[in-house]
Amino acid sequence: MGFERFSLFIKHTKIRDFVDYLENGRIMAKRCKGCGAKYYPPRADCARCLGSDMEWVEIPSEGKLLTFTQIFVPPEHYASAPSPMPFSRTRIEPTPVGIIEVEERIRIMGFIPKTDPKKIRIGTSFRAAPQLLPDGRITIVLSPKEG
Amino acid sequence: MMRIAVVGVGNSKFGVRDDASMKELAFEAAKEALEDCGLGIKDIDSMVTATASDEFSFALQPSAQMHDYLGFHPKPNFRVEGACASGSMAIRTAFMTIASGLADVVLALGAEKMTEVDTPTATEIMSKGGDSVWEYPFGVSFPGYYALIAQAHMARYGTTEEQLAMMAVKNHHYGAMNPVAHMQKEVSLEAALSSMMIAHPLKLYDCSLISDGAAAVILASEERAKELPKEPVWVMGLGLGTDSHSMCERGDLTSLAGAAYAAQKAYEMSGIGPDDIDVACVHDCFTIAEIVAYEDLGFCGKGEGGRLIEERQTYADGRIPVNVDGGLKSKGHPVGATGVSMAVEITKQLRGEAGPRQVSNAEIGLTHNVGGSGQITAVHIFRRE
Repeated sequence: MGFERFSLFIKHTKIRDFVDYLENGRIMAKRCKGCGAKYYPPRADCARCLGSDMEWVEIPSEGKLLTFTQIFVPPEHYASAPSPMPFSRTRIEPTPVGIIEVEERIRIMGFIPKTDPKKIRIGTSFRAAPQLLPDGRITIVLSPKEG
Repeated sequence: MMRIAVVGVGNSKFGVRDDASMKELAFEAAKEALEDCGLGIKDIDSMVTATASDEFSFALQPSAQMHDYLGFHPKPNFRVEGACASGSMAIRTAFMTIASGLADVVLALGAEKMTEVDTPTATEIMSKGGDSVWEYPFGVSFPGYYALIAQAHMARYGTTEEQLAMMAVKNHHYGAMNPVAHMQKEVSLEAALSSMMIAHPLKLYDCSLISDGAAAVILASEERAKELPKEPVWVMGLGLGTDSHSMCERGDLTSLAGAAYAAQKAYEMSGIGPDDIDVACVHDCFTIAEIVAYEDLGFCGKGEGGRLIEERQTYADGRIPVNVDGGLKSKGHPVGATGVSMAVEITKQLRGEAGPRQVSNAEIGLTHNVGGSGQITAVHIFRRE
């Protein structure tokens, strides 16, 4: 599988190595060697100077929560989650999702598992980490920083 | 620059239209617009069709269905797209077609048949209105994008869930008076606040509807407009702005930078400012979106949108009446039709044809139509003489 392990829809992209880095536990951005602009989500080409000589750089994993939500009426891919028990239509509580800022204008979106949205506070610190899923897909989760 | 006017308008009934196909809905709207200005299809020089997604219409070329069913061929028609702002793209393109001299009378037609698919599929299609590669994989639905905006707005400005619910109460109040509205019923503040959670903190009554429908606007050059029966409603300003695809790359999560840019361009082109607007239709796909629209359009200062609705300043008798047709919230949101339908309502308001929803003495109107989660916004300003 290619990039669709992360993205669901898109197989082909010049930044497919993003998924391999994720698998090795690293969340990477792209930096333009020409002008220094840094991009997350990563890009193969620089929107500032139109350069295409870009390098992978690891970004900090800790940052403050900018915003979040919890989707109760999910789109198709999430609506058809298989039931864990035969003959059961157990309702699975949806996982909150949020955006943290790890550097100025570098923001990471991720799931915030096992968290009651009423207890989530914008402005508090979270850590982003890749997570491998049982079906071979890979995603990013945000966990509250202790203390 | 030459002057261009809206000369005819039509709007199909919005709703779950399981009695009709997309092209049949488009026919309803186009026929009404032609009858409104006393023209036949043979009098139209060119057509522009807006539909947001092929995935609702099961067609590579949904526009062909429309011109075929209207018997318009062999004259020009093509499709334009800007997600939920597609309708305004049709109006902008119709304006450009006339301004360029390629045509004198152009039909801008918008339609969407959203209930052809089931709700999870419609939710998926709409979710792709945001960044389908980097944000959909986190299960972010279309309400989810606006929930992210709502949480940020509430955290920064103290905007409340009650203020969001007040928006639903207002728009349903007017939708109940609009014969083409999808949901013609009043909603109480308590019902809105206690409705089912869709994407925290947005509840059922914070969300617009999955609707079927079509709307049509006929634009004409000044020379042709003056020959037609209805008082022309002049297109004074058109602004179009864009923003990043991914929400993560936005400077400010509480505002749509493309909307503010579009407003500034439309105000500059028309020489009209936010204080001059008598009536507006803004893109309330979610209640928070109307609050953000007030701020991006300059109807109030940053962070003051919640207070504007709390003080009822956007009711028909308030300082700046907004969405007195029910908005997307209650009139419905058949995506491709929405921007055209906004222009239909503003034209009726400026002509004094809006019945019980009429804003007294409205002379200048504005439409604000957002695509996706803010990737594209069109602001148009209209005026009667």
